[in-house]
Amino acid sequence: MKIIILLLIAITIVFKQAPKSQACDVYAAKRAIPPRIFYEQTIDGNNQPVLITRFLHNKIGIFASEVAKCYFNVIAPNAMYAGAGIFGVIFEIYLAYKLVLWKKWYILIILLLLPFAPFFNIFENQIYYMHKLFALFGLAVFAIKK
Amino acid sequence: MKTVIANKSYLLVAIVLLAFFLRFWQLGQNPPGLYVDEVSLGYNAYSILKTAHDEYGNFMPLVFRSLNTYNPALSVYTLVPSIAAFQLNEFAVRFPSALAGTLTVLLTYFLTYHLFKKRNIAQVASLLLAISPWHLQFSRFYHEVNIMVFFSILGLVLLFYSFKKHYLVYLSAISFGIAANTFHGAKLWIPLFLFVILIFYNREIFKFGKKLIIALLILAVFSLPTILNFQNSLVRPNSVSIFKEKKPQETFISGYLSHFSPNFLFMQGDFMGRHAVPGMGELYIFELPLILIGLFNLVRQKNRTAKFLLAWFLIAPIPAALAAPTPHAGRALVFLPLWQIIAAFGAYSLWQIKIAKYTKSIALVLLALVAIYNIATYFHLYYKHYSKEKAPDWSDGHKQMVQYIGQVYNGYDSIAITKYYGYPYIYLLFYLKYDPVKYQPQSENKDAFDKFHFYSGVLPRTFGKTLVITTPQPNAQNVIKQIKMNNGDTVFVAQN
Repeated sequence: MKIIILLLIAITIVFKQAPKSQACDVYAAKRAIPPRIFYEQTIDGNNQPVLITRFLHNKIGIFASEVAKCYFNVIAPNAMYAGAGIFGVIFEIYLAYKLVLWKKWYILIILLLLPFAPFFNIFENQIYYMHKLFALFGLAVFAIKK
Repeated sequence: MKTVIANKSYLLVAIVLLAFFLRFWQLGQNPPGLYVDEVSLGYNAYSILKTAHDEYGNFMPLVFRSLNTYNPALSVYTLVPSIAAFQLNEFAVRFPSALAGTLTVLLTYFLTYHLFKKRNIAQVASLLLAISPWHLQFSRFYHEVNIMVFFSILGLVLLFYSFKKHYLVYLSAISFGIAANTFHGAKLWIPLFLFVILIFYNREIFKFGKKLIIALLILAVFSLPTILNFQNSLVRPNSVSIFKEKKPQETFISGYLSHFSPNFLFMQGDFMGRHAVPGMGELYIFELPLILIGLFNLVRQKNRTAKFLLAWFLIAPIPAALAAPTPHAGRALVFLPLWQIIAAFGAYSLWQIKIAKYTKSIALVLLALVAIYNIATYFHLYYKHYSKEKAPDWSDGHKQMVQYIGQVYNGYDSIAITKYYGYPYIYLLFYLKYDPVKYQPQSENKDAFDKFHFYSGVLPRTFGKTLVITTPQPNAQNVIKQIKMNNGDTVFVAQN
């Protein structure tokens, strides 16, 4: 019975229809810098010391925030749900928890770095399949443990 | 509680003072204008104060009719003392929320201390709440949800302390009862929250005996306003419900998960201008590692405190996910102060990790640097950018429009005002401090009162010399005054 339930869950993960991923890459991040800097520095005005303006509104900060947005788009629970369904969300989080618990840092680092790939236009359309894969790994770990 | 206060309370006092300062400083000026809901609730409170009737002439209502919807009673009654003390103005309307926010910081200390029995975790949790962008945003304008969060946390703290002093259970029931009558979402949240509390603390709760029955009776009495006005109480929830959607279950799941989106929490926040500062998440990015460590350790610990906090964590987005749009920082405010408690526990867990001292020091210095940059950026964005960028979201310009009308009122026979931005009538009532006794008989007609006429599209038929207040148009004739927002943009023009 347990095997049948696990198989059914695996089927829902595999056959969840994945949407097309949104464009969020290094070029988009670079394009976002000049208008944001111009807009933010205009609001700050000329009366503010240049040092403060540069400290709070600079290329590095804006680029980092754009990179983070792209990265978080990929690892968000909603992205997991879109790619692998609700069971996918549960088992991906379960996998991450177990990897930390077992101190499998290298695997965890790979898992955490992979979502950067679409940012460099690598696997950009395969990112939802990555969620399916991780969810299935999580399911497998759960099946073995229980 | 006395011992908690007695032992090294200086830091706690400093944290509460900081919370007070951050919530009250420039409260009337930033955000830069009163949103229409604040104005409506404020004027109704003024009307109650002066006449014991709301704007429609209902005597001490249990549910307030306001702007095509119905609001829970305490959303208005909590404003009455403040308006009595400070007159009808921005500060008076926002005062209860700022005060509730400050006191929630204090309560967070007691709640966290009760849960972990560690003073440093409690101090960090209350400090994080004191500077939280999410909590500051909702403490600096009048939103009933902030009042609800305060009373529900007060109810929880009193319940925990009632395990030793049983009589406090009555006060706890009253607090939860008040919370249930402040905000629409409370009708769902308070029973859900109480259910979770009951699951984890039933052993202590059932020890109350007869006192529990009285507490339940108190809660039943507080549910009467909703029961007696059931149809009206559902107007607002029905208008935002997801059950009108084609696939409500899918909408619910994606809405639920959206509240855990890192972009919502740490990068962009709520897309509504009133709910977040552009360029900031609802939480600080430096809290992310602390929250992850805190969550991991809570899951691993498996004690009652951990299970209770995790259950709270899982149910918090439910009321918000049943409505659209999502993620919604307001309806999900019941997450607070949970995120801060988890982050504080994460910081404590990080401190306890046995690694080389210099590694720990480097990690802490890095975290502190990110935190300083993060916090400095937030306050810069809030005080320098927010009032300019989001002025339209706060209906900035309406006050200036009414002030102008006040100056020229006697020179015209009628004044026509555009309804392009929503409900100009309530701004006139509020800023003119219009006598509720005079307004109540005219209240059913929302297109005119006194010499004011409100129009959308075609100008209404008016008599005599008419002043027209409209939106700025290119090549407009007879413009006698441009009414500007604080950021310099023109929002209205006055024409003869």
